[in-house]
Amino acid sequence: MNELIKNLDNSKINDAPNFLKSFFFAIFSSTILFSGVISLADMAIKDGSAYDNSRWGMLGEAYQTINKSEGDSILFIGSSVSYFGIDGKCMEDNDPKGNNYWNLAIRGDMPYLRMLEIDHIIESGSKKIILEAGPNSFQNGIGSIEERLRWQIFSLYNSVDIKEMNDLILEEDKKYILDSEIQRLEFKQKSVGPAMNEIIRGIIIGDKKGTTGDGYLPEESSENWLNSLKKPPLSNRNSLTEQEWNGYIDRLAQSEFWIHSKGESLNRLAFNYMIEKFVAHDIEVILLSLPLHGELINAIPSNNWDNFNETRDYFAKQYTFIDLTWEKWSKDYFMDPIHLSSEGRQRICENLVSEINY
Amino acid sequence: MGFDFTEIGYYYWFLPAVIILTFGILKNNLKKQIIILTVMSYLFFILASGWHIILLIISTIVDWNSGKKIYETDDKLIKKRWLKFSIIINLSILAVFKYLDFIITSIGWATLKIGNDFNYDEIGLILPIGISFYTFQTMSYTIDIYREKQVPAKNIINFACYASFFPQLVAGPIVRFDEFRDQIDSTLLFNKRNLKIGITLIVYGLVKKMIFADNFAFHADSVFGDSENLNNTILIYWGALMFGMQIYCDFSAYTDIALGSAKILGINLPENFKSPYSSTSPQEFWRKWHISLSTWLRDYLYISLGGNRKGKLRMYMAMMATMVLGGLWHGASWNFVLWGIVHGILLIIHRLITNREIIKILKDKFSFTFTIASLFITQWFVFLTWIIFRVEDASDLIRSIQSYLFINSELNIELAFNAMPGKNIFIGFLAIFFVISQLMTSLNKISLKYQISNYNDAVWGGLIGIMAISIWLFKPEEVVSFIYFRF
Repeated sequence: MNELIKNLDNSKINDAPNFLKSFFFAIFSSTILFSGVISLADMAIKDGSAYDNSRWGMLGEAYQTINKSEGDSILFIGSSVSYFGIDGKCMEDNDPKGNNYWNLAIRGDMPYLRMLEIDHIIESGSKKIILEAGPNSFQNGIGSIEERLRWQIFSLYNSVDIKEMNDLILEEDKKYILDSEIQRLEFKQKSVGPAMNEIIRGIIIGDKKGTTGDGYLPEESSENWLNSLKKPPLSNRNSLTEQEWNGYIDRLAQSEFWIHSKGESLNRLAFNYMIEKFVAHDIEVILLSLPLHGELINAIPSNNWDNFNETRDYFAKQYTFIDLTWEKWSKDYFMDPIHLSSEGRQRICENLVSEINY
Repeated sequence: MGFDFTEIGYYYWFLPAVIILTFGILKNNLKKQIIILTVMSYLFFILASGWHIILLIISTIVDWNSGKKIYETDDKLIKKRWLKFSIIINLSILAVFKYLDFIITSIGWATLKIGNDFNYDEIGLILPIGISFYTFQTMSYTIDIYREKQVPAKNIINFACYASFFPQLVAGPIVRFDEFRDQIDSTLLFNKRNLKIGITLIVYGLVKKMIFADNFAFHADSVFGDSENLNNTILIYWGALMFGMQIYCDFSAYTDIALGSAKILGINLPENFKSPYSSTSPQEFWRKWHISLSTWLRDYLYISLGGNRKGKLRMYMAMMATMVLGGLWHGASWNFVLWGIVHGILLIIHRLITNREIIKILKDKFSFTFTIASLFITQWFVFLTWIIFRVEDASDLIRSIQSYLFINSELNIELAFNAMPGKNIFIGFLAIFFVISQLMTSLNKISLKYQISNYNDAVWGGLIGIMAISIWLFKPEEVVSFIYFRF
């Protein structure tokens, strides 16, 4: 090998390289590759294949669509409970006043994680905002670090001003808010690996993660765009077996998920701040807690509900609060103990329109 | 971790500074060029490993002086005394800084086994970076002078430059003095062709390290980092494959960057790898893997132990001793001893069967099939030994080996796929790309990196641009330290 290298050296000894020419071609090729790969990463972030939820990347476009829509808009914000429980299309069909109903709930959501969107929600021009105010909303924790991904993705595509809410955001979480082009570029670079993974998967297997079922939003230009913002796409989940149903309840009953803290948790503070901002902009706020299955309610130790009830009472004194938590609906209306089935969604649709549209 | 080839500072100030000082400010003055290379090499070492520079300086002074004394005297007894002095000092430095804790814990373990109460608190010395490389390098200098294969360096500065030359100082290749001395005997001249080859090697090395090795590391660490995975044969094979590719890409990348940096300065360093995963026998593997170490062990250990001159039994013993010590060279751990033993056994078995009549007949009659089968069998064993190299915990190692051998293991593809961390298709794709590039290299007889450097300026520029931007685009979030920095 060393002999070979020496020959290589000698063969070209009089042929001095033209580095200016090489530099030009290096810039040219790297620019093409850079733009191509970053565009692919962008696409994979937006369509949810890179991070499994296209809503995170498309919220900016969604709020603009609401803003451009004709007629008054009623906007639902919440977690998977609202995602599965609210069918905006059905509500529009049942609303004699012709309001638009938009469901921008996102699974795993909580008020703390949606604070960055407040200005954009206000700019969407919605007349009423229905905020989910169930046990999920006031949970003690503020989610895993992975869930801060939505902050990175939202601030990747949308301007975010946190000055006013500075005290509400934990210092260690501020790094997840991208506020410079360098940070945005770095985030896109980090997304290249997962994006490529899904693109190759799409080519070989024909199945890209996140582009079907829960959380998916199609491209803004597609026919389904408006429909998906009103009635979120739903995965075809099989109904739970008795064992799965009981297991689900046991898991929740044993977890600390719904042991709410007494008084002011970060989620409650964020919730309060959000409502005050909306109200200050003359947006009507309605708080909504959707039904849970009775078996689950009974399985949760009764004292675990005390702090939730205290928080609910606090807000109910100040704002309209539709509390359906304790409704005793049968299993037919549930997909699992906390998420409504299509029958449950239909029942909510039929009953709720008149309540929020008084 | 201090300064190394993955540090951006190496490329934007250190290497340019060395080039400018050597070829700009001090051009046409060989003595000053050698001094500046030595000073910059010491600076590199201080940035990488701090006060451990003292050990390098001790090693340099001892071997320079010993070499001189050996050369100057005709008295064989005095020659031998100086050689012993050099070897004892070098091995003592190694023993204290690399092996003392290992020796203490091993004695403690052994005495506990026989019921004695031995206090075996570890000393906890920090392993100096590159200690195994530069002590072996400077020892080869003294031994070669003793064997009259070498004459001493012109002066201590030239020798210090050889002992500390920054591109290969901390992770090799282990350079012999006769490969180096002629290159610093005349003024170092800047050469555009060298710059072109050097840039190619550096960028190619960074691609191997940051795209391939670090992405493979992500999966290897994930498989071997969770005991739950170790019963699954599919995961163990995947982990072994990932680690085998990681260690090759990681180490050969370091060598490429070292060769490239040296090339720009007009100095050729020897290759350390020749597509080792295309080897069809354990012997061939060791001729292609970490060549500078295996030839060092052959020349200074195996031959000193009798080599193949004193009968078969002695040869096999020498083989085993060489491989065990070669294993220990990598680190103070029983894993590396076992790794050396298994490689020793493989070499001995290969030597025992290779000249059998039946093997010769099979080789002649079914040449192609024989080659393919030999390749798979050799690599199957090589990747088995990588598990020994990688898994430190004894019970985890036993479970992993059992799974590799399909003993008491499960073969659940779905479970294996679910246990893999993210980006598995992307990394699988990289693995396929790696295998193809290895195949191309072994078929073409010339490494891809040298093919690239031989393209015309436009194509070369285009490829360098693609490779450079790919490093940034495809590198994982965390850069992994070079594995051989530990040795």
